Amino acid sequence: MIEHEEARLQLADLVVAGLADATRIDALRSHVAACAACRSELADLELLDQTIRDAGPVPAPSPDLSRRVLAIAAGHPPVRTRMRRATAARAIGALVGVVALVVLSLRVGGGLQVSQTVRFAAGQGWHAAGSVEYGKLDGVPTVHLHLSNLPRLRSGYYEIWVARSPSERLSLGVYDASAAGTLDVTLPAPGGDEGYKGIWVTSEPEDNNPMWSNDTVAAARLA
Amino acid sequence: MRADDATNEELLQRIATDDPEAFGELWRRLGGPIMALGRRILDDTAAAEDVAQETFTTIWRAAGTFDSERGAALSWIYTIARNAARDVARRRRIVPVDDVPEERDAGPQPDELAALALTRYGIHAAVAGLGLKERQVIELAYYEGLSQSEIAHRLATPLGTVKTRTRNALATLADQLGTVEEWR
Ligand SMILES: [Zn+2]
Repeated sequence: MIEHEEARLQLADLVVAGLADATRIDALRSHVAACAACRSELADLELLDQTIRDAGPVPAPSPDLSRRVLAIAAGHPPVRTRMRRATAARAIGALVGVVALVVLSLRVGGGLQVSQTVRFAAGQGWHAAGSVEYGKLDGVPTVHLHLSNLPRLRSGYYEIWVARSPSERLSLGVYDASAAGTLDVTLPAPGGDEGYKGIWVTSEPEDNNPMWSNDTVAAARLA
Repeated sequence: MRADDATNEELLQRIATDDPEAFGELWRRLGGPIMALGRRILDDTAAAEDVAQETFTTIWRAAGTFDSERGAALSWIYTIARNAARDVARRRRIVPVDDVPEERDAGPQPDELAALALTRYGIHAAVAGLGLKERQVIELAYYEGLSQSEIAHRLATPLGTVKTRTRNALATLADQLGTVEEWR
C-alpha cells in the first residue's frame, strides 16, 4: 500500500508512459482510486499532458530575428536613458523660435537632413508649443522634436508616439521635461514614407499599462 | 546573480537598468513563445517576427514601468505582445484570428481562442524556462515521441536520471500552468 504523500509525488508516472513498471502503476492506481486529492491532482496532470502535446514545440526564432532583437539592447541604450543624459547636458536657452511650416531639405546642426518641419498643436488643457522636424540623419529616418511650456511631471512621464492614425501608434520613448520646461529630443523614427502621419506626445500615468492614455499634450501632423 | 538563474521578474528589473545580458536571457526564454503567440494570432510567420521584435523593443524601453507587485512578468509581457500583435495586424492589414466573427455555435468563440492562446503561451514560456536538460527530455518525449529508455539511449544518460528529469520537469510545468490559469 502506498501512502498519500508518496503517491502524490509519483502521479506523473500515471501520465507519462515508461516512468514506472506495471507493479508500481497498479499500486498507484489503487491509491488514486481511494484518494480524492490524488484524483484531482491526476486530472490536472492529465490536462497538463494534453496541453503540452497540443501546444507543440516552442519555435526557435531565426538567427536573423535574434540578431535584430539583441541589437535593440546592444550598443543602443534605451531612448529614455539617452534622453536623460541629453537633457542633463543641454544648456538652457537652446533653440526656440519661429519655424516655417514646411522647410525642404534644410541641413541643421547635428547633421539632420530636414525634409519637413511641422508645428505642434497643444492638446486640451496643455500649453505646450514647439515643432517637430522630420528628416534623415546619416540616411536613417529621424525626428527632432522640440516642445516648451511643459511642466515637470510629479508622477508619470511624457511619452512620444508616431502614428498612422490616432488609434495606431508606435511608442518612441518616455521622458520628463527639463527644469526649464522643455523637451528636446532627436530620435530614429519611421516617417511619411512608411505611412506615419504624425507625432503625438501624451502624458502617461505610472499605471503599468503600455497603451497610450487619452491625455494628449501636443500633436503634429505630417503635411 | 547569473542571468539564467534569475526569475523573469528579476530579469525585467535588470533590463530597467539597461542590462543587455538580462535582455538576452529574456529573449532566449520568451522569443520562441512570443513568436508562437504571434503566429497563432496572425497566422503568418513574418508578421509573428514583427510581433516578437516590437514586443522586445517595448520591453527594453518600458521595463522600468513593470511593477512586480501588480502581476507576473509573463502576464505583463503577454499584454505587450497582444498589443504588438494588434499593431502589426493593422500595419499589415491582417485580421487577427480571434477577431474573426464566428457563426454562433460554430467553432471556438473569440474569447475561447484568446484563452487558448494564453494557455499555450504559458506552456511555451514554461517549457522554454526549464533548465536545458529538463527541457530536452520533455521535447524528446512529447514532440519526438521517444520513450524514456529511448531518451536515455539518445542522451547517453542513465534511465533513472532521465525519469527523474521528466518528473521534475512535469512538476515545474504544472506549477507554471497553475500560475497562468490565475491570470484569467
Ligand atoms: Zn492520495
